[in-house]
Amino acid sequence: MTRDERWTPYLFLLPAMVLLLMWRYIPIVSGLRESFYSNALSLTGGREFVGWDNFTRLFDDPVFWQSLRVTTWFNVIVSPLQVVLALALAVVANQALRGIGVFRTILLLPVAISINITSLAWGQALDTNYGLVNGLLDAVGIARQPFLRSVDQALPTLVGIVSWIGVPFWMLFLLAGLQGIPREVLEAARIDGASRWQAFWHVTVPLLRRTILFVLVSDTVINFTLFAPPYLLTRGGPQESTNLMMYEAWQRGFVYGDLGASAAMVFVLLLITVVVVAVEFALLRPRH
Amino acid sequence: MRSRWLDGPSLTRRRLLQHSGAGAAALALAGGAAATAPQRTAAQDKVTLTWLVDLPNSQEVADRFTEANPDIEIEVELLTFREVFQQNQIRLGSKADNPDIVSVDAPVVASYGLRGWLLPLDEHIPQEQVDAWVDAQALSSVYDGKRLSAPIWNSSQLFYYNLDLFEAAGVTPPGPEERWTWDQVADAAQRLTQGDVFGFQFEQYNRIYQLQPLPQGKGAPVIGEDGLTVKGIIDSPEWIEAFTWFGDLHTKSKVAPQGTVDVHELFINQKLAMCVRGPWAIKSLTEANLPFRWRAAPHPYWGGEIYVPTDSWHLGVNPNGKHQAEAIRFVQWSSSLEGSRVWRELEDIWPPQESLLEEIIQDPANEDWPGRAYAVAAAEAQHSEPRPLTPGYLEYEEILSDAFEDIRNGADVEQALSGAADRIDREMDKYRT
Repeated sequence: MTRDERWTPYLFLLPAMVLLLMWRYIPIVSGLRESFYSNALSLTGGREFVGWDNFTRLFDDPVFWQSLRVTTWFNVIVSPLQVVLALALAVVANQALRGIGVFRTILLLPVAISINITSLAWGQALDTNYGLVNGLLDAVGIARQPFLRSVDQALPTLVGIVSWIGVPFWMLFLLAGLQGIPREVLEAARIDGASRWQAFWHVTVPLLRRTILFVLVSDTVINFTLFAPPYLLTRGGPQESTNLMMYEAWQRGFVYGDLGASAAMVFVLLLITVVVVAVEFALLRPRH
Repeated sequence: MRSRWLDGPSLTRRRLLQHSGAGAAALALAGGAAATAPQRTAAQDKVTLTWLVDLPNSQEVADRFTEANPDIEIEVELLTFREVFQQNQIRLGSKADNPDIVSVDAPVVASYGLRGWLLPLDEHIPQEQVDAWVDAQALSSVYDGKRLSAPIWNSSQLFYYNLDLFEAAGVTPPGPEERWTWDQVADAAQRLTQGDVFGFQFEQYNRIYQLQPLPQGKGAPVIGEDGLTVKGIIDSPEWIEAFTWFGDLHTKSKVAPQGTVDVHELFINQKLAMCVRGPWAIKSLTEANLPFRWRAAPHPYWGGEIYVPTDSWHLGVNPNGKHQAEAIRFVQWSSSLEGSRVWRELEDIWPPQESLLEEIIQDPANEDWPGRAYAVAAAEAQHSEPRPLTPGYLEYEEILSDAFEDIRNGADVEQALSGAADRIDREMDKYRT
C-alpha cells in the first residue's frame, strides 16, 4: 500500500465526519456549555456562568422526577415491545407464501406516513365524543374509553400510536436480516432434528444478533428523544402522565424561556440514553 | 437580570453603528414638531418594514397605510397565532433586526418588556390617542412605567345561544340586555343537553383568557400583588369553588364536551346550544347563513361584580430594527382612530377606542339581529378586565392551561390547582432576582 493509498479511506470519510462534527458533536458540546450558563433570561443577551445551578434546580423540581419516571416507563415498554413485534412480523413476512407481497405492502403502509400526521389521525380516531374507535366500541356495546384523556390510559395509548409506525419500520430491517440468513443453515438444523422453535431460537436469532442490536439501539435513541406525539396530542398530560423528558425540555426552553434548565435536562437525557445503549451493546454484542 | 440587560454588553464597532442608526432615528423623531410622526427628509429612501402577524387582512391594512405614507412599504408574513409567539421568541430573542413591527398579545407585553424586546413608545403616541383607548387596553400596554405597545384590537366576550334549540327545549333565553348567572347557565345547559347536543362550552375552554371571570367573580384575585406569586391565590377556596363548577359541567352533569373541541363547528352544526365567544364570532355567524336563529346576550356572572375578559393584539417596535422611526409611524397610525376605522372596515375587528365602540352601540343598523350582537358586545367593554400583568405570563398561562385540561378530564380540582400554583411559583423564581 502506497502512502497515498493509506490516506484514501480517510479522504472518503472526511465529508461525513465534517457533517457529523457540525450537526452532531458541536451542538452537543454547545448544549452542554449552555447548561452551565444563566438560565431564565439568557435571551436578553446577558449570560452568566451559574455552575451546576441549572442541574440542582432541576433535581429539586418534582416535575423533572415525574418526567424521568414517565420517560423510563415509556422506554421500558416501548422499545422491547416494538422489537419483539417487529421480529414476529418479519418472520411472518419472510414466509414464501402466495400473496406475501401484498401482505408486506399493507404492513409497510404506516411507515409512509409521517409521525405528525399519524399522531393527529389517531388523536381524532381516539376522541371520546366523536372518534371512530369509540364509535365502534359503542356499536358493539363496550363503554366509551377516554384513551388520551385518562391518567391510566394515556401512556399505553401513546405506546400504541408510536408502535403503529415503529413496528413496521423496524420490521423492514429485521426482514432484510432474515433474508440474509442462508437457507442451508436452517435446513441443516431441521435435518439434525431441531424443531421450528429450536431452529428459530438457536440458529435464526444468533445469526440475527447484529441486526437486532442495530434495531434496538436505534429504536432506543428515537424513543428516548420522542417529541411530536406528546406535543401534538397530550401536551404532557393528563396530570403529567405523558410528560416525556424531550417534551418537558422543549417546554422549559421555548415556552418558559429557561434555556439553561432545558439544556441541562437534554444533557441528563443524553447521559441516560448513552448508558442504556451501552448496556444494550454489552448484552447483545455478537459473540463470534 | 434586568439591570444587566440595561447595562448591555460592551460596544463593538457594529453595535456602535447600530446604536448610531437608532440614535439618528431617535433624533429625527425628537426633532419633529409633533410628538407623533417624525418628519421625512427628501433624501430618505423608501423603506420596507417587516411584520409577523396572524390577522388575515393585515397586508390590505398595511397597503392602506402605504397609500397615505408612500415612503413606507410593509411586508406582511402571515403566520398562525401560535407561530407568531414562537417566531417572536426566536427572532427578538436573538436580537434579529426583523420583524420591524412586533405583534404582541396584550398579556405578554410585560414579558417582552422585561426582556428588552420592545422599544418604549411614550414619546411617540400622543396622550389624546392613549386617552381614547378603553382603560383596560391602555393599562395592558404599559410595563414598568413605560408604554411599550399600542392596541390595534379589542375584545369583550359574549354569551351566544341557539334560539331554536331553546324554543325546542322550552327554555326561556336571556334578552339582549339580560345578564344570566353562571348557575342559570348550568341549569339551562342541563335542559338543553339532549342526544349528541351539548348544553354549553367556552370557546377557549383551557385558557385563562375566558375562564378568569369564574374566580374573579367570586372575589378572588388572579395573581399576587407582586405580579409573580400565585400560591394561596389560584388554589384559594374561591378558585376551587369556581373550577369545581367548571369541572362538574364536564364530568358530572356532562353538559360540556370534553377533549379537543371546535366550539364554532359544534355551534353552527347545532350540536352546542350555548357558548362564550369573542365578538369575532359575530361576522362568521352572520355570513354563514345558518339554518337557525342565534342570539347574543351579556357575559354571565355570579351575581355580584361583573368581569368580562378582554385584551387582544397590540403592536410594538423591535428595538434592534433598522427602521424604527418608520415602524413607530405605522404602530401609531394602526392604533389611532383613523387606523382603527381601516381595521374595522377590512377585518371587522373590535376597536380599542371608546368613541368607536359608542358609534357601534348607536348605529341604527345594529338595532336588529344579527347586528344587535355588535351593540351588545360594544356595551360589554365597560366591564373589560385585562389578564394578569406579569412578566411570567407565558408560564402562568401554559401551566394553568394544563390544570384546566386536567380538571376537564376529572382530576381533583384542589390537587390540580395546588400543583399548578407550586409549579408557577417555581417558574416565577427567575423573575424575582
